[in-house]
Amino acid sequence: MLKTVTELLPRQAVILELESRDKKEVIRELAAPLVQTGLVTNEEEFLTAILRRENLESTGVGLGVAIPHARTDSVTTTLLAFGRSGPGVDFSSLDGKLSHLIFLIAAPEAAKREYISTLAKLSSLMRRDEVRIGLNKAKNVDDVYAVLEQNDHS
Amino acid sequence: MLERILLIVEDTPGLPAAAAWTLQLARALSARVFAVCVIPERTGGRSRTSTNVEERAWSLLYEVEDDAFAMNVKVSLLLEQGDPLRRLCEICTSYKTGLLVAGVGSQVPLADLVRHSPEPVVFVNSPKED
Repeated sequence: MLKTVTELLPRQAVILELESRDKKEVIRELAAPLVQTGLVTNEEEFLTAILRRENLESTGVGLGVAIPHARTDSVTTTLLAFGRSGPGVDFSSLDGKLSHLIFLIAAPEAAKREYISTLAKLSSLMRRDEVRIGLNKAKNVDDVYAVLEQNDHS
Repeated sequence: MLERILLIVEDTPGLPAAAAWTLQLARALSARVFAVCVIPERTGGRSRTSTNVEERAWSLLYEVEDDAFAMNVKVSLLLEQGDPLRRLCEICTSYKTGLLVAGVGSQVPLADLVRHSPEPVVFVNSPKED
């Protein structure tokens, strides 16, 4: 059974106001709490894997959303981080818009199925107006979880 | 030089062959692949079924992306809704792609695609099973 989004998202990996404005720095900022969980075995390798994908792909999926992601053995399980940026961050979205809602996904190399399914579920969720509006309005971590739980039917 | 290739991504048995052919060509030419899935316009509101269709579409797109990454090929993913033929032609024009690739079993009839596409169309046959 595929885990829900909130099951993959540690509470400390929800950042309601990202400080960074630059894509690489935002990825570092989102990765930091995941490293603290102890589920990232090699921080530099983890960041390199995420940034390598960024060089080949635009992980800005449009509608103000970006989902940087990677499969790497520097994580022991599939993990999510979520951050919100008021001013927005340039993730080279095809629609030309800055990203305000950013999810970072990392999964072990062997967990391809869960990785693809999580990416697909999150991408689908984030196309829904009510989810984006809810996440933009969330005042605290509980609100973020409530929006995701309400809309994630896996 | 061909710099951008549009690959039609659909839940068909022809997708793996079409994707593999497109990624090999893109790698050889250092071209970017635009992997595009068009979901026919739904009638009515969002339902569990439409959510599942959308998730399946994203899964197919991310499978292509994962293969592209392994081959060091640049890729952009697009999920669109609307009339597939019309949307594909519009995307060809707006992203200035130079070639459109489809696989066997496409929901868009070959004749219509060839007639209306603003650029050359390649249909990739799947290898025959023994």
